[in-house]
Amino acid sequence: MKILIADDNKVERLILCKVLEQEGHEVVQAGTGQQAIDYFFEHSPALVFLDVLMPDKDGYEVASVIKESKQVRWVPIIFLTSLTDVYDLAKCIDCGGDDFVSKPINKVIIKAKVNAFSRISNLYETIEAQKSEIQFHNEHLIQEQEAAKKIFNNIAHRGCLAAENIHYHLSPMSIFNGDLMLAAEPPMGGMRLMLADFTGHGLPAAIGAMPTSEIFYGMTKKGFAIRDVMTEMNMRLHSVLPRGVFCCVVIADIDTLEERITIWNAGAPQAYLLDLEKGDIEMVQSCHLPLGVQSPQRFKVEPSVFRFTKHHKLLAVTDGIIESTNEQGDMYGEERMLAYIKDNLQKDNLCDALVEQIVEYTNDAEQGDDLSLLEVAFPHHHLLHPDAEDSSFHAQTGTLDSNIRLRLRGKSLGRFDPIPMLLQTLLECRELNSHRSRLFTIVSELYNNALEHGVLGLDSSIKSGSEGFAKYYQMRTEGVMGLTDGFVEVSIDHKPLKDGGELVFDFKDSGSGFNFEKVLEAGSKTYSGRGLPLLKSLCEKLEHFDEGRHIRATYRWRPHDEE
Amino acid sequence: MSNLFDAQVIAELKEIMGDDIDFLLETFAADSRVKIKELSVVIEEKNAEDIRRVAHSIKGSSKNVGAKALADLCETLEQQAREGKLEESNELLAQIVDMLELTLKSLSEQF
Repeated sequence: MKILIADDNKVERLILCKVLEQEGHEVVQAGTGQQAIDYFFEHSPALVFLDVLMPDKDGYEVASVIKESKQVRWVPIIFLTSLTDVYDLAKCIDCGGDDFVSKPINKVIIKAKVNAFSRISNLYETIEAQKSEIQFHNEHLIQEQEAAKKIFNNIAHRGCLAAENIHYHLSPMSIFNGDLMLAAEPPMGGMRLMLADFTGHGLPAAIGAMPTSEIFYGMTKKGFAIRDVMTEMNMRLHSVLPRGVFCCVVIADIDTLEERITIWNAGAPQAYLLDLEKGDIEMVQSCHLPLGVQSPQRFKVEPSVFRFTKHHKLLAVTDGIIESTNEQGDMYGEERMLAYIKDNLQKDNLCDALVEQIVEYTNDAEQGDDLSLLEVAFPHHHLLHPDAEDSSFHAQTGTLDSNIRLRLRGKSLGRFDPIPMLLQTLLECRELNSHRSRLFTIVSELYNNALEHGVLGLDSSIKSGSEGFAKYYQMRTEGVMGLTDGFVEVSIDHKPLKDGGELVFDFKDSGSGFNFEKVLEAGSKTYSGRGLPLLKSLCEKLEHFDEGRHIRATYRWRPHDEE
Repeated sequence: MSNLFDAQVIAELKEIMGDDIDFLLETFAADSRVKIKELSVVIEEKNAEDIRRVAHSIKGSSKNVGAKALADLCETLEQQAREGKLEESNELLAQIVDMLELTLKSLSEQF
């Protein structure tokens, strides 16, 4: 150890120096106070012996200068003193000294002090080393989290959450709180939204966001229904999530053509369906265990369907809102929330108002960071923006010259949704990408007509009553579950023309048929229109055979058609 | 000898310094002579604070080499200077000068 001795007494210095050198230390000697300061910075000793009385600068002054210089490492200072006055001794410690030894120099005491301080110095160094190690790891961790956040944000992107009909509140670090908010425009138009809440915090909660988001955007783009998306998501989460981590979810599809909303709630707090015209609030309760809990065999999705017009709003929240606790330890709770919504039904931005209300209730601005809210009104337009990436595909012939045939019988009808599969096959012809939305509408209208009105014989007029939507879809669900015979036969013939191509859709069903002309006359205003006016507007030709049991739609497309 | 020195300090010093003991004693002799000259000057000037300081310093080195009698004389002078009593300083200085010579002679015989 390198030791600095400052003492104006040469004899004393010699003896002390000898004692220390015998112990194997390197000694630097200073004869004055100023020299002591200079040598201290020049030699960086690990320990300093300071005589109190020196002619130029005394030991107190030297100690103050050294201690105030803020050395990186801790350098103990031991005063050498023949003073016995307790105030003088106390002053040694007050001015920054760490200990004192009395003169004349005693070999045993000096050795003992040096050993003691060397131990303390080592301890300090260990602590310093650990501190910088912790600091390093901490910085590393923060960097990793930042990187993880970027990756997660790229994958679990917000989709079309920026749309005008949506207000939402979501912390930028929400993904590490386990909250996830996704929105997408399905090919048939309208909007699909999802609010998910993974149990737990940090990375385990964030991990589930990746497959969830991928499945949501991937399957939505291909036109899969809520049931298929949820089934796939549950299957994936069930296999990847660790025990005890699962995902509460509210998912909703808004159909702008039919003015209806399909909602499914699995383990999330009740969602609120607001009727701004009538002032009614409908609660959509959880009717299933969260995703990732049940094995695929036991998983069953039965969404509810409600009317949803430009006078309606959907409000979904995660449990952070309800569990917000005030200073008295009381939770905000669903009752308070419902009362607040009732009183503020007409507020344009209910989402922000609610967040403000929670912050006020808890008197804690930071609590706002843990809240996730989604408020959705009726979408303004059919499609917000065409998918830009699709236009970058080079034209490919794919299924341009092909015929697809599919016959779904009894038990498969209604339980298997052939629309995404048919659409994906058609879109193998890349030039049809800009026709995606129209093709989706045509295929889904034709199929649903054949199944619901044809095979099941449901009357669209059921939908018109106040409970109509729910009733109609209840009947549809029960109908398809009970099916043992009946069929829908699909044939899609795609042939190239000089300029683009022509698609001929033939849909046949086992139903009792219907009066095509009469329904078409009834117009688009009524629900019994069977979407025929819409089909007619999209297709070049719409024909019917076999007393309405067979409908043929002909769609003509040209390359570079605008969406 | 027993009056002049602290036997324990002398023994310890031998152990610590080993071969360097001569150098230490030379240093002590030279240092003390310089300080005694300084002492005579400040006594002439009747500067009580400086008398106290120099006497203290000689006392310190004397104790380190076990020169007990010399240290005691210095301490008396230091004490009186602290109290502002300067009447006996010349007399004490003379005693200190004699004692230093006696001590040095004795020390060189012992080592």
